Amino acid sequence: MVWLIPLLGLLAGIMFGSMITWSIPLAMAKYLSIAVLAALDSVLGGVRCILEETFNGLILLTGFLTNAVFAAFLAYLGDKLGVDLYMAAVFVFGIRIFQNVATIRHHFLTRILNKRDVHATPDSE
Amino acid sequence: MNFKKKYGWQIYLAATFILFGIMLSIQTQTQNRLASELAYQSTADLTIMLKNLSDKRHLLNAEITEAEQRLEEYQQDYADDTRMIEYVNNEIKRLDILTGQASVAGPGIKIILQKENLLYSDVVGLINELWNSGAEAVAINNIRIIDTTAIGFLDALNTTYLTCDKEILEAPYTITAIGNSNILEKGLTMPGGIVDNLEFFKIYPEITIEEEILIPALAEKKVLRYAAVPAKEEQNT
Repeated sequence: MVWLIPLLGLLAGIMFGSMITWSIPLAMAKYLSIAVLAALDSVLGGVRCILEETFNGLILLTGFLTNAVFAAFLAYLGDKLGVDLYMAAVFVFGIRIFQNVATIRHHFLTRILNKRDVHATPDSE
Repeated sequence: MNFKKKYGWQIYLAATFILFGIMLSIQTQTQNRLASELAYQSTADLTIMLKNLSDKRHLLNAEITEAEQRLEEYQQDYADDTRMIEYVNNEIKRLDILTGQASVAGPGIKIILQKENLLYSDVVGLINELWNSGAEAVAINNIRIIDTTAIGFLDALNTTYLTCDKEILEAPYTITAIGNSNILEKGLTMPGGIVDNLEFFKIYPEITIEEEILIPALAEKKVLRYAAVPAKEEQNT
């Protein structure tokens, strides 16, 4: 239930994004993709922080934006320099996303197991 | 303060999610566009597309070649037909002139004969001499003379009338002939020729060279009732 508002936000964002007719130039598609990857990492990081109870909204928002922009800029710079910084970003963000997902899963699992234990204890006694 | 503490993280997370959703859907759209853009297709796909297109091009080229060939054939046929029709038309015109089906105009001579002392055989002789000298069309009193025309005479009421195909001719008789007028004239007036002979019988034909003579067509079309090309010969032609 507490996750309803953020989920609705995600849905609203997707709907709004599919409604706008403005489209980015195809040459920029590569940079946007890496920005999306960075954004996904930030979002998952935010969720993890909530579960770890170290969440700060401002840090999430600023991290989200700067990560996305910087990732795109890094990919662009890599193209200009002829170095595949793009691949480095994909690699790093990919690892972090998996780590974040693993942590989130871990937290959820421990919560659910703890709840069950709380309910189970009186019955078993 | 309490509200902010309770819902703060949700609002921040929701805002982030909204931004993330927008980025996600824009990126999806862009990727869809990329998939249909030729420049971003994989080499394998492009190779297959290229192969298909060049196969199609070869087929179309073959079709073009065939169509052009057919067009050329049709044009050739058409030209052949046109030449054939032209040839046949020219032949028909020539035969019409020869058989008297068409009126003819051209240079030639005019001979005027008086009735006195004239025999039908003299007229026949004159006409023969004209044919001999290369006349291409001859008429007497504007009646076309062809290969089957008969010149004769008719005795009636103590008068002899000259006839052409059993039609009475009125004197003076005018014979017109189309051909090389000089040769025609010389053919008649050469020493010892027909005009010299006619002088013995006190017949003096009046010969004039004309630049333009008009000879009419036969009044009636000649119909062959018995003569026909033998079957054997027809097969050969």
